Amino acid sequence: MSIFLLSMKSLFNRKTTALLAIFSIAISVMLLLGVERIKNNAKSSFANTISGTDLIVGARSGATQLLLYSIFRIGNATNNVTWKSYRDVATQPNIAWTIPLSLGDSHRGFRVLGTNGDYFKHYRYGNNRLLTFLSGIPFDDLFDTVIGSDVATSLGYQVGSSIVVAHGLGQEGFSKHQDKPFQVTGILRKTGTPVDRTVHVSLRAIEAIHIDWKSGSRIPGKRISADEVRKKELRPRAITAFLVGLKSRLSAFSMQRYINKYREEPLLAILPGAALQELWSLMGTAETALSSISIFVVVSGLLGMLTMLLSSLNERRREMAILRSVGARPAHIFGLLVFEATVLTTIGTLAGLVLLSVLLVIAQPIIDSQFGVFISLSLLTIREFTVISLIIIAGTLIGIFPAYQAYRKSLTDGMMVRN
Amino acid sequence: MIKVENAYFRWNKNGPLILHIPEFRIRCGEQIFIKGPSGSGKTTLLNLLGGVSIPETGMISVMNTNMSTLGSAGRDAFRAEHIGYIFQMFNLIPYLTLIENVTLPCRFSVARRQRVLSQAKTLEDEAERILSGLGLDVTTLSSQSVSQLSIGQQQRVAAARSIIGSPELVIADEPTSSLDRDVTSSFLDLLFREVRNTKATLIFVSHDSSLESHFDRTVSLNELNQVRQQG
Repeated sequence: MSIFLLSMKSLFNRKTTALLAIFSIAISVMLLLGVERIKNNAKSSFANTISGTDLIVGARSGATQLLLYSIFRIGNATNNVTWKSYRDVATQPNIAWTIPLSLGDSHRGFRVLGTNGDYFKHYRYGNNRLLTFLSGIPFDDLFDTVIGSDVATSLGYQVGSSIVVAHGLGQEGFSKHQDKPFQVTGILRKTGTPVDRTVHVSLRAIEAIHIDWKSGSRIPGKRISADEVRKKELRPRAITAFLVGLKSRLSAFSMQRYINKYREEPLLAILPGAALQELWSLMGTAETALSSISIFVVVSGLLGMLTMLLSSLNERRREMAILRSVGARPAHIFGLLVFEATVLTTIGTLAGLVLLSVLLVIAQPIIDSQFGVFISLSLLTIREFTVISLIIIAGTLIGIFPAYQAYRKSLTDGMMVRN
Repeated sequence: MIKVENAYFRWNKNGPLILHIPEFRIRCGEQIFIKGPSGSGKTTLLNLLGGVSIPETGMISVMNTNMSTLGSAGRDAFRAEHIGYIFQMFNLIPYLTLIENVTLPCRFSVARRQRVLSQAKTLEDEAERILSGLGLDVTTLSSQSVSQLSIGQQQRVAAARSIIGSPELVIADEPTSSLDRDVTSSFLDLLFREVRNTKATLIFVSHDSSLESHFDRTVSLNELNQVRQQG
């Protein structure tokens, strides 16, 4: 029976307080690693908002702004891209596909996106996943619409529901295109991306509902009914942005250069990956705050253990004195307490890891469906392993403090407890 | 066995003098009774003999080893190897079993472990043998925690621990003060028998002078220690 076994037995003898210390460390470790893991998964899920697209093209502005309005449906475009420019770029030999995006209208708080059938063929998110339909089919008729899953669930729409699009982005805009209602033909499966909160219509429909509008308001006296509009040839004059898929990714940079130097109109082409990175780094502060909070929680967990060890010292003076009388050296007493701290932190940390895994297994499907963040149940990453090792080392170092106290006490006490 | 010459002791450099023993000798195998009321420097003397503290000046030698020449680690090792202790009460470590409590000194002293193993097959066998010699039935007592034993039983376990591995010196510090008279005399009888078996020297410290008659020799700490304690 070594000094280590002795300290294990001693800990077991004080199992209530020891378990409490272990529990508080476990909770704090669970929080720290949980925050870390959710952060990483949120980051990758953020990066997965769009995939398979090589370039995003819009009117010249900032890269982040273009990304925000074209992909995240946040904010507005400062300018449009003319149809001619779009066709010029789209017909370049390197280009495999393009998806035009036309934004500006809304339906009860959800953005309306005008696009074409290519959207359903080429738009990818996550790990190169295509959009799939929960029910229904892509839009075909002029006044057909395909809605994202959040739109369907929060507004209670089904295939066949009729909806009216509001002009502009107001929650309940007073100017509505109520003369030209849309019919829901399809509902997309949940993606965990802004697509879920989008109402998709055809580009022609965007033109159609604006045919009797000018500068944001109805042209007085001019009324063109839905049926009349169907007979007209609707050719969009401008779009907000478009996504580009290239035949070879190698040409991404040259294509980007081509677009950025396009003479007819100031355009901006961005690489989605780089822009996503840039945008994520803007959130760095929140990320750091969250991490620091969980680090402080771990510190408080370790301090809890320190309190427990320190408060146990006085009642254990007798135990130390007996050990001294049978030949234990003050160094043994020191080692005993340091080892106790190590054992408590190690068990606490491992318990935290187990707790986290159990919690993630339970919460994973809920988080996935509610927030579209898929938490992977991976094994320990190198980073997590480092964090765990650091916590155990910190716990051991903290043990030095009560150990030194016990060491001092056992030096003065000797074999007799002096009061 | 023990030779004390002109030993002075104080807790710290500027503190009051606690102990001054001009001369004191104990022969090998002697069973000596040191009579001392509390405050007579008893704890200090035992700490000095056990090598927990060393005198400021003067010499304390145990088994011809001058304690002052050993380092603190050396004195700890010396104590583990040559001295067994019995205290007034709370001698046992509550989270260890009966047998583990008895064999505890063998964890810290290789020599005592080897002495046990030269006589018995295992440490546990030897512990059991000593305990039954002291009238404790291991099989019935093992099922309970050592803190549930009666005080008389606990003191006998402590006695067993002090003699396992045959240390040359056994120091008992008021081991009977919490026992009643009948239990005290049976405890002393058993202790004497075991100490005689291992040929150890016994130093028995107590304020209870009625126990004097059991011992070869009695020394009064008040006469030994030249420092008059106040209060």
